[in-house]
Order: sequence, then structure tokens, then C-alpha cells
Amino acid sequence: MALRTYRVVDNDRTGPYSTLTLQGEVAASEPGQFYMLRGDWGADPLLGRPISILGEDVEDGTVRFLVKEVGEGTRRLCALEPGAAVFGLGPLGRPFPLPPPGAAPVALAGGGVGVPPMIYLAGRLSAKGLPFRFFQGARTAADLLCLEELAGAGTEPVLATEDGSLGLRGLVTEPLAGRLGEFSAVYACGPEGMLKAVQALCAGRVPSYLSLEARMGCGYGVCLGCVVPVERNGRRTYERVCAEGPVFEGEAVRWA
Amino acid sequence: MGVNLSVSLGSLRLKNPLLLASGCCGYGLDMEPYLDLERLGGICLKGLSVKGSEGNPPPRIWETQGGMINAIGLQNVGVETFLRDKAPHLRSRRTAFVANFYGHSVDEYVEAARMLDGEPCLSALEMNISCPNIQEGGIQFGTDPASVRRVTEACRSATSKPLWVKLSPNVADVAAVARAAEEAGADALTCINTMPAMAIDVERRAFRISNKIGGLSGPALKPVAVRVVYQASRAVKIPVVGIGGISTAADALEFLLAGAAAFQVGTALFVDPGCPYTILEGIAEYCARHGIENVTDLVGAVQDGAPMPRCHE
Repeated sequence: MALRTYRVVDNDRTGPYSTLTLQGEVAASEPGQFYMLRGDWGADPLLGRPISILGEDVEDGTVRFLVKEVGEGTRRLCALEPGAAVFGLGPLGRPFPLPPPGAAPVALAGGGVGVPPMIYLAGRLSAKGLPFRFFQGARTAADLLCLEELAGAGTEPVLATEDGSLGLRGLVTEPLAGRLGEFSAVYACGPEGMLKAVQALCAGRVPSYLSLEARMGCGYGVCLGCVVPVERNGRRTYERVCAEGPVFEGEAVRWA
Repeated sequence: MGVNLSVSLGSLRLKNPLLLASGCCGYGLDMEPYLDLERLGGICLKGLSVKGSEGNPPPRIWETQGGMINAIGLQNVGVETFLRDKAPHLRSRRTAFVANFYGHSVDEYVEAARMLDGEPCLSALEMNISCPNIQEGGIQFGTDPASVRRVTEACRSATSKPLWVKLSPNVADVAAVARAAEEAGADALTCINTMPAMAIDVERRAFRISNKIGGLSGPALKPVAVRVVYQASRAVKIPVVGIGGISTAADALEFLLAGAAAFQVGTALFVDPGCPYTILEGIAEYCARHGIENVTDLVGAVQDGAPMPRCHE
């Protein structure tokens, strides 16, 4: 694997979000994996930004990302014009483990920039004929993401907004809690508060897989900058979000 | 005419002057998806201690202008686990592996050096007396010449392998520290470790990393590192290995001209794990363009003492 140069072929901007379509040499990935992305802007900002894959077409050589502007690096990524160069290293990290054939439906819960990898996972589950239900939460209707993509994924999503402007009023974990018994596993990606709520909801009842976010130096396991405390077999250690993650079993995550 | 990129650091011959820096390439094999290790001059492995360490709590890193601050806290598996689980896989790779090690006391340094001394895959040991990120040990050994001498002498008697001493830029007198290490038996000096640094989130009024103080690395550190390499290499006869913000061939050439006999690439690997290839190609191209047959001809070849050109004439 090597750092590759991609070209922006499309940048669809909505508020603080940009859906970037990049063209170049695209290696097949799995839902939950990410790329380290940076533009051709010299040494400042220096490091790539870990961005989850929204979707890809390996034959076409295109890969898509939904980037939210949160700081200088993502601000510049969101502002890239078609034709601009992007340096990308990926796909990286451990993906979501897919449910076995014949398993009961799984729940997918996404919030904010946690939605894109769940969209990718929904598409993969659909393609394999594996049943799932998608839950998306946001502050307001305007913050719900990728609704068109979701409509194409084949199942009606359950939407929840904190202000009740679209879908159910409240947190995404509320409709999930009421139906938890239907699912053989819960997959989640989103803000830490949401992941903690999913973890607590599922504890001792159903396996959960949480995709974590962290500041990263390298993205491929060598800098040890992105660790999160985990506990396995009674032993607490730090594991790398970029290498052992970003997807962790909910039971193991201890948070920083 | 091909350019000869090989260099010698005392008795140790490297196929080229580029080494991967400790803490930026794991235990070597982590880089294999990205680099053919045998094309490199060498690889300095993640810093080891006798007992190992779980490292500091997150957050551990913060990006700054042209660089980053880290306080990983020398998370490592410990010497024993390294020797049992990691080293055997390195033995078949034909490149120079350098074990970086540290302790919280002179005794722990000596114990680590003694344990590593018997491992055949290791070409040298690099003693870290300059880490800003651990509570005891590390940088406190590297800041005054007397303690540098004490810990270096102690480790010297614990290993027959080439012993490198990695120095801090955070010292009042680089030459005095460098000479202390040389007189105590060091075979080479690595200049420099990260610079102690700090960043604060003004909105939250909180430190950006949990350890409060971390080490600054990356391009922002480079001018400091070039200066330390220059000062150290003129103070001692043993070779100096330059490190600090190298990401291009031009950066590496600056270090060679300042007096480094070899150099290490660290933070730049985070940005592009393949950058060693680009750097080596750039150095070969520079040598060819300047009619340099051996890269060693560049070492310390900055035109020292020559009068500066005066712009107004």
C-alpha cells in the first residue's frame, strides 16, 4: 500500500458537510474502513485526516467520503474544487464484522459524521441479502444526512430528531431500545454520547460493534497516538483506534 | 556513473544514510505493507524498557503549525516480549535494526542494554536519554553532562554492540553533552529527540494532551535540529545521526551538510509511509547533479568559515 494521489471529481456541499468523490487507484475496502486524507497544501496542516468511506466503485476508480468541517484540515478538505489533488492512504483499519448468513436482522445506528460508514454497511448488507434496520439520529431535520442514499438502501430508516422536526422526537437510542429484542447485533457510529448510550443499552443483551473516532497521527498503527482504553478478559490496555479499530466490540470499550 | 549511498557509522556499515526513527515505525514489521525494509539504511525500533509500559492516557497527540506534539509515554511491550515475539521475525531481513531503549534509573538502562546485547538481529543500541514524556528517567538523564556521562558509561559496559546516545535539543550546551557521551564510550550520537512543548485549548482552558507537556516533532523542529547537529558534530569525533523534521531530500541534505553521517525520518512517515523512497531518490539525483560519487563526501561539507556573500556588492 502507498500514499496515492486522487483527483476531486465532485464536491457536493451542504452546510458544514461535503460529499467528496475522488478518482484514482481505489483498492477494495470493507464498510467501517477509512482513509487518511490531505490536500496538496504543504506542511500546514501537516497530518492527514481520518475519514470513513461512504462508498466506492473499484472498477471506476472512485471513492466517496462525507467530510464535516470541524477544524482547519477538514475545512480545507471541504473547500476542495473539482480537479484538486488529494493524497490518500487507505483503506485502513478493521471493518465491521458482517453478520453470518441466516442471522436475525441487525440494527444500524448512525449519527452525524457517523452516518457515512453505516450507509456503506447498509449497502453491503443489502447486496448480500442480509436483513437490517437503519436508525439515524440528529439534532434537527436539517442535520439528518444521506437520506437519498438511505432511500436507495432498500429499507425504511427510523429517523429521530432531538427537536422532533422530522421522525421521532428524541435520541436515536429511544426507538432502538424499544425494538432491541428484534436484533442479533447492533452496529453504531456517531458522537461519543450516542455510542456510550448504545453500549449501555446493549450491554449483556446483544452484541454491539462501535466505530470510534480519534485524532490520529499516522492512521496505520505506528505512532500510537489514537489509543482508547479497552478491557479484554479482565485486562485493561490501550488499543489503537486506527489498527485494532476503528470498530470495537462494545463490551470491550472503556473510553478515555 | 552510479552514486554510492553507503555510509559507515564507526564499525557499522549501512547501505544508505536513511534510517526510520524510533517511535515512528513500530517494531519494524509494521512498516512492511508500505516499505521494503531492505532498501533502507536501517530501522530504529520503538523505544523499549525492561518492564514495558502501557503509555500515557489519551489524548496523546496534538497537531501544531508545521508539526505535532506527542506524549505517547513510550508505550512498549518490554524487552523480554520484544526478544521473544518480535526480534525472531527481524533476523531474516537484511537491514540494520537499532534497538532504542530507556529506563527510569541507571540500573534499568543497564538491564535493558544487557538483555538486548545478545540479540543477533540488532546492529546497534540507541539509548534514549531525552524523552520529554515520562515522569522519571528519560530527559532528566540527558540534560546535564555529568548524568549523560554516568548513564552512558554504565550502558557501555553492558553491551559490546555499537552504542548510540540520543540527545535532547533542550540543553544549554550541546557540545558539552555531546563530549560527555563520547568520552563515556558512545559510538554515535543521535541528534535530536523531540523538543518539550505544550498546547492549550483556550475555549476549554484545558491542555491539549493529557500529559500537558509533549515532544514537538515535524518540519517545525528542523532548524533547531540542524543547528544541534552542526554543534554536536563539531564537538566530537564520533558520527552524528541527524533527525528532526526531515521529510524531503533537501531536508536530509541539510543535515548531511551540517555534519550528520546518517539521518532518521520520523514524523514524515505518518504523512507518507513511502517518503523514504522519495528522499533516497532525491539524494541520488542531487549527488549526480553535483558530481558527488560518494554521499559521504557531503558530510559536514557546508562551506564553514567561508565569507558570506554580501548582497549589496
